[in-house]
Amino acid sequence: MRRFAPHGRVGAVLLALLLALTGVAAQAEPPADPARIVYHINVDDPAHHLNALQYLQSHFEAVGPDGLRARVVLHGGGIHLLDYAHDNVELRGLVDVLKLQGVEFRLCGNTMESRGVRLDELYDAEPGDRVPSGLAELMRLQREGYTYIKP
Amino acid sequence: MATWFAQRRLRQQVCELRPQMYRMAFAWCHDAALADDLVQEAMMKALTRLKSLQDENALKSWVFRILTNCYRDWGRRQKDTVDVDSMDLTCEDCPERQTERNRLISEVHRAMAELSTDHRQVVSLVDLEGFAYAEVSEILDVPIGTVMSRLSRARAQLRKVLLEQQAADQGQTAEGPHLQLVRNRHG
Amino acid sequence: MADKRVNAQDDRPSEELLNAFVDGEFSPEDRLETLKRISCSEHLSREVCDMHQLKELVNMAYRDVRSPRDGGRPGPSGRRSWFPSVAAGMLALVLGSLAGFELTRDADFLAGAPATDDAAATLADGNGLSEAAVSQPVAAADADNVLLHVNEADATAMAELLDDIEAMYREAEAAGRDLNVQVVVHNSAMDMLRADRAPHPERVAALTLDHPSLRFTACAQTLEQLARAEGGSIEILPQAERVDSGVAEAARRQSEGWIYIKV
Repeated sequence: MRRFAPHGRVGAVLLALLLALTGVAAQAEPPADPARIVYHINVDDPAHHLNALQYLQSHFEAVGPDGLRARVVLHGGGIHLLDYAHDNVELRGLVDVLKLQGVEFRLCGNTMESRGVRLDELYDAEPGDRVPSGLAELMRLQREGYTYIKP
Repeated sequence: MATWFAQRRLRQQVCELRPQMYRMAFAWCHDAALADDLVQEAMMKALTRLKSLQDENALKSWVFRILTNCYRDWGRRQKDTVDVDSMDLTCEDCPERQTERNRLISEVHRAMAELSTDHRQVVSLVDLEGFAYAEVSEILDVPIGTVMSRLSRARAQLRKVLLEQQAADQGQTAEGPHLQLVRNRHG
Repeated sequence: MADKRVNAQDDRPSEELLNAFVDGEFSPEDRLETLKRISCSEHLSREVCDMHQLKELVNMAYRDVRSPRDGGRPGPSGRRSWFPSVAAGMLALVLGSLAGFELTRDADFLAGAPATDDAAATLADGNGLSEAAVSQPVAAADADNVLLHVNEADATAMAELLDDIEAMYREAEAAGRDLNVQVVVHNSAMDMLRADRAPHPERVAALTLDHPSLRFTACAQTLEQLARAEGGSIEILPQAERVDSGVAEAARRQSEGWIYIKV
């Protein structure tokens, strides 16, 4: 079970999520096939990171946790997102919640190598998250039918 | 995967050598545009031939050897000899020339330009990049003895030319303990 | 060094030895030996000191020499450069060897049929090789077409982009897939393809040599804006091509089903 910190707005989201999961008011048909999207983040800007993840989260809220299969590719300046997550409660909370809904983060190996970023410096990152090339991963996912979104 | 990262590291090292290569190429030809072209060509050759590099520790000498060859090839393509006066030596009347330091720099450039190519290359390789004689011998593909004799003659020549320039500037004839003039002014 | 060792009968080390001493070429023992001789003679000491000073002087005279690309002063305008013609020549050679390929997406051609007159004619008319504007080689069923849209980039990002392109080609090769990559550059990323400012022109050259299906295209609208702002035409790298509009090109490729990545 992954750790998460239920604070403020994030806590409210989490609650809504749990309610949705327990099927309290769910009358809608389960989606036939979850839509597949991939977010590409390559800018080193914490505000942008927060914005992007919030955007993704509201997407989940619109379609429900099973309505979406999402990947977030962190590449170039975006690799630092998981570093900032250590110190930024809201960002960290979003990462946790998204992961609970099945979002997988993909970390560009080239970027990590060229910027000297180690896996253990990134919040909740596992070896399986790392891909050799962020762009190649984006290419592969699009080929598999993922919709490309650059927030 | 490991080889690729190693290659990438070497590529980065080659790219990082660019400012030093430019400085050397400029010292050889005193022409900014030509120096740029030489460096571009040398770097491209180095990058495409990286796989054939035997000894990673000799990367810098290897790259400068490629630069030397590019310069030599350029020289062969030139039909006319390069006129010293057409080089990018800091202009005589520019305000920049007024400062003492810039004047001295321009004098050294001019003195270097007057050396033969062989002499100029040896001096710049040793004085600008601190290459050891053995490395210079590799880069220029000449025996170490040749490196040493070219170097000592080149420096003797430089000393002579610089003193003549200084004497001319000062309006005196050069004599006696020579570089003392330089020392007093800038030492 | 042994063969240059000072003759015992000479009082004075040779010029070359003094130079070698100043350049730190001696082993510690030889160095000590020579140092003793030098310090005994005022004339020698002065000469060595002068040599040191000359060395310093030469070093100092070139210390600030820097290419505009590396942040130095821009050189005289209107430079004529021979390198582009060399590179363009090489590019022409490479492209020429591809003339055998049909310039459509007909997968059948992958079987390796020799050059037809049609193909040669297609290649020869229209834009010539001299403008380095040639369509992609074969795009088979197993090919990936990727459009990299570069809007803004600093020197680091540009270097990483080139690394990424290299990685993509490597992976494609490992997977046995063909890859066509077109890089569309506009706005503030244009430095990447400018002849006078490109931070990595030789990497661009080397990459296009290694991967003929790689294209660098520059948005003409951005170039015109820059030309107006700077009061002179902007030269792009010889490997780069102009396209009318970067945005239109990106949209066109997307509608053709290309993979789109905004960098």
